[in-house]
Amino acid sequence: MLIGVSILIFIIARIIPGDPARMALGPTATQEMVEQYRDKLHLNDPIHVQYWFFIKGITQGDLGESVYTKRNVTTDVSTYFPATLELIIFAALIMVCVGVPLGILAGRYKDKSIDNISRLISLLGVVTPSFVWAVFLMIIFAFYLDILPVAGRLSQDTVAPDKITGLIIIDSIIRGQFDVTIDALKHIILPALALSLSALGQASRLTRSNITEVYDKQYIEMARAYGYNEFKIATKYALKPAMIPTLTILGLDFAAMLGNAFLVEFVFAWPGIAKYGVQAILYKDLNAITATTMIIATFFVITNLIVDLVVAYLNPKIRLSGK
Amino acid sequence: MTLLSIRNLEVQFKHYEGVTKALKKISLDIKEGEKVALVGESGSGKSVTARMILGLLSNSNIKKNGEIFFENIDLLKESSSQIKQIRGNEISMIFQDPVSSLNPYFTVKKQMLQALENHTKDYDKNTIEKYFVNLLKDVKIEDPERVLNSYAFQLSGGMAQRVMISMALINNPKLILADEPTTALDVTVQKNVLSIMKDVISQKKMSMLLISHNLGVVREFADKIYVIYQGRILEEGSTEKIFNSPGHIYTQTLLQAIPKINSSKLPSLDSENLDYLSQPKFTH
Amino acid sequence: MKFSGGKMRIFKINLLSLLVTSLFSLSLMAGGTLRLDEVAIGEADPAKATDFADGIIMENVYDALVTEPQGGGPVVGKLAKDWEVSNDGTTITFHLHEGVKFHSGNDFTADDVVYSYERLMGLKLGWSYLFDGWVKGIKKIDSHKVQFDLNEPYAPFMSSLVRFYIVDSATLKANETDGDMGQAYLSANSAGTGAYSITAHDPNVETRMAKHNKYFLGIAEMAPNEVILKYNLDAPTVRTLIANDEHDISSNWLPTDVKAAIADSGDKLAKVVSAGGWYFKINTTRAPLDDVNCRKALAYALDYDSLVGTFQVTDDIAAGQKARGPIPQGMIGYSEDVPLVEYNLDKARDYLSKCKYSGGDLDVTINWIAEVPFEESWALILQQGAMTIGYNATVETLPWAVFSENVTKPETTPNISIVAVQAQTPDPDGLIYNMYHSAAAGTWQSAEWVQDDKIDAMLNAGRTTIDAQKRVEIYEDFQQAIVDMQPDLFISDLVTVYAMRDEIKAPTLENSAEYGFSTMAQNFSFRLMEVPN
Ligand SMILES: Nc1ncnc2c1ncn2[C@@H]1O[C@H](COP(=O)(O)OP(=O)(O)OP(=O)(O)O)[C@@H](O)[C@H]1O
Ligand SMILES: [Mg+2]
Repeated sequence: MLIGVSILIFIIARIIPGDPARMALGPTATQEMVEQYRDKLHLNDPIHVQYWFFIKGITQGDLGESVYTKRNVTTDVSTYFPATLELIIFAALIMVCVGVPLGILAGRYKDKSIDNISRLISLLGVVTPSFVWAVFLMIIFAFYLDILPVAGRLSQDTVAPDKITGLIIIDSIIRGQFDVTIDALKHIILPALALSLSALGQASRLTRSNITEVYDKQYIEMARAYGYNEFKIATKYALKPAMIPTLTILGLDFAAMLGNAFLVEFVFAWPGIAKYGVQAILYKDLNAITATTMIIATFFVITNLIVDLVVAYLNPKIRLSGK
Repeated sequence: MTLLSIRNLEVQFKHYEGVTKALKKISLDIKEGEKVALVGESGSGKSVTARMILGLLSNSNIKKNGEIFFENIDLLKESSSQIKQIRGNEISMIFQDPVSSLNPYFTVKKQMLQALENHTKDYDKNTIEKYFVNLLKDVKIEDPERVLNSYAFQLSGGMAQRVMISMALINNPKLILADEPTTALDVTVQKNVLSIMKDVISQKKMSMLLISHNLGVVREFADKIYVIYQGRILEEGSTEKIFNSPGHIYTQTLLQAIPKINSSKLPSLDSENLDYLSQPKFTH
Repeated sequence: MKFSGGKMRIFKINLLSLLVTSLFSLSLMAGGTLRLDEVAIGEADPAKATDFADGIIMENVYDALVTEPQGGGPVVGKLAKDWEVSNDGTTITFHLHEGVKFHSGNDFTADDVVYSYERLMGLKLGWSYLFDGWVKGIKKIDSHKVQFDLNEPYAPFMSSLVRFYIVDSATLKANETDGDMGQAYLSANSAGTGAYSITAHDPNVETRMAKHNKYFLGIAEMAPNEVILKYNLDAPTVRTLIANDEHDISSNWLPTDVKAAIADSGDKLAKVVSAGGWYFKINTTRAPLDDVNCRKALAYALDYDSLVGTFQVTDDIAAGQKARGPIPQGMIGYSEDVPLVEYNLDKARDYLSKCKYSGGDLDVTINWIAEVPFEESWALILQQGAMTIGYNATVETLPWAVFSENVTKPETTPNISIVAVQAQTPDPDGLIYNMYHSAAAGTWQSAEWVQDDKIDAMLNAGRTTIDAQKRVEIYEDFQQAIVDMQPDLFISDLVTVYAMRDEIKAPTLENSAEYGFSTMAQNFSFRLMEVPN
């Protein structure tokens, strides 16, 4: 499937108007320089030959040169992807840790004030694009209150820990540089919150409706009839069945954050892959477009796979039928 | 000795369209070791009665009046934590649709264990599985080990209902409520499950309230029958009396319908033409 | 909108920084960290750099043989002490400064100049085309003397040298991988003589630079110790960062209202007039605008006052000034004798009546670049005027990538398009040759498709005439010739406006008029700025 995506992206990237070599060399370059650069990028070859060069590069771990950064795309991707991964993991944590409990409460106390509050939050979350949240949060927490930083992953004087995973928070914990961890946490809160708010609303509404549905099931009444207490029902007996359909959507939401992150990355100067991908499109940076799209596609596939495995593990019906 | 005594129980549901009077001052008694049947057509208030006993309707928009004495305590006045102590412990319930009443995400064993743990924490972990196996054997399950490790959807309806019956027995309750325990099952399995249920309950000397819309079903089962119609008890008496000399025209209509029953649905009784309620309650 | 919260905090931090600076001034005098932003990407390799952001890096990290003088005029020496030009103008011999050190500590010599030239022409990127075809060869005469030979006399050569940056040949040769002439090395490091060296570089995120203490021209005492040049900051981010004293100088691309808001809350603006202009470029090959009278009609139908009004940032700072012709004020060839075109609908109608097209033939499309949203208002102002005198004008937008593709053929080049052109060297040739010479046709800069023999001849003469006074006359005549031909409507000279934190002192930006006009980023010389610690 990923091969299909790669071919499709490879072709689409070449249909976008504009000459990558011209974009790369800037408005002042002469036609002769542009032609020479096109040769270097194999752009004057037929498309199947270009694809062959591309595949050959991939097998050697070389994604080609980015005409935007003039570096190897492999370098760019390995620099920018961990930043976005860290951001969306955090956003997903917020989405799950806030959205799901909120949904459970709303589902349990249907049409009570907690349900209405959650409905309001969800509605605001869903109708407000994440970059608006980004600017809004920035104005409140950074401009007026000045309690949280607004740009980058670390303060200007904080040195990033030596790379292990590329996720600064994890790397700094592994290396025991906890002051760096704290600085990194301060930097990630606002962008992660901005990114999570719209997904959070969806997560809580989804949890609510699934919880409500499960609470109408006969086995919940049966549980009551056998003396389960409400807390146990909410946290165990009803939660598991309700979370399984929720999980599939949350997995998609998580993967989608990778694509949605770019405006948040712009606002908070977050050096991530989503922003890089958008710049790549503006610059018609063929190799970078293909690489970022492939990463997003791979990420979707992997996230889906993991979610499917988790769902199968949690849901005995699927688990047993698979055997 | 009377184990359960319902006195003038009234239940009303409030909703947007108005008020549904589900139960209109019904009274009902179950003695220790007695098997009582509550029979009536769909919507007559049978399930509401059972749910009221276990306090399962307390959260809805309902208005209730009257008393439900269980061993001299009024269940309607008990706190919810005390009711929880009674649920599944002193009174347990068997539901109509066994497959959807078992949680599809937990094994039978897990659910049985939980039903036990809700009421007692000190049990012997080594022998507990044996205890469950025996309970399952009591309801004539041949491969109890496999069933214990199964999920509801892996069991046939008859099998699941037998699991439900053994679950109801776990804490040795004094009273078992069975709300149409066989309606969801194949006609061929119905009889079998009923006789198994009758056997274990008689053997363990428990009391039972069997709810059914089918007089035929309860004939071989119950010691005593209550006939309910639109939230009112129209006739009560021993099984023998009811079948031999039904006192209320509604009961007579029900009896006439029996031979024709070969499906689980009650034939239409043309209740609009007959004003059953104009005749007073008949007590044998 | 007023941000009173911001003011309070600035006051608070002022007290604090006052305390800190007074403590520090006892022990050591050194500037703090300067933080500024630009649009990506920042190219750190002097053989590839061309953009403005690149220019900021080049200005500070590398030096050229010559540079634009303070106050305007012919170039002056920088790494070159002085030079001699042969009588025929084709041999130029440079005497180099001695004792100049690279960041590595290596001495700067003639070998570095030769290597830098060979590297630039070998990679054939960046500014290489300024020399391509003109320079026959370069040779070392002795350790501090180097000679360029030209194929023919080329007057803009000295100005072009402003973009020829000298790299440390020993360092690059030592760090060469697969014969890449040090490209990999220079993508993250520097090898120059400049006042700052690169300590970290990510072309899409930021470039960090540190003071080069052995800089041969010296560095101001309070000049920044460290500089962080960030890329692609969003407007609200810059606004917040400056208010929180976490950012010092914005880019010119910050929206006007954000600049105004920053100025309003206690910080300041700096205005720099730059060598270039904003143009409505008219495709002179397509009807009805292939008739000069039709073009002139448009020139008089344009409401210049409304247009210039859109440049106003605050009451006293405007990001534009009305242009007289293609050559901006301050550049060689600019002439006050060329009359300013004024908004005059009678004259416009008059010209239109002389045009060979009328009525239904007067369909024109005005294109603005999607990435530059403020151009839309200009397009609408022109549309308004054009409609008034009888044109049927439509306004459309094109993304840059599409636009730059469309201008490669006269049939697809828009009737009218709005672009800014910046001079590539301090010489007028570096601005107008690419716009008007037929040899340079088919780019976004030459969307007029002038292709006129008389114009070509003037531009050729400008290149080959060595006598400075004669060149001035040639370009003044040229200016008049273009205005007569009206292949453009001249909107404004290029003026850049930067928002700055109040505590920063940057005379090169704030008093830019004294430093001559800017062809690239020479106003961003960090060593002349002062940043409190
Ligand atoms: N939670 C509730 N809210 C509102 N009305 C209810 C509720 N539960 C039952 N009722 C109403 O009370 C009446 C009696 O319902 P009940 O479920 O006891 O009937 P039933 O005799 O069990 O019928 P069936 O044979 O169909 O199960 C019906 O009119 C029903 O609509
Ligand atoms: Mg019922």
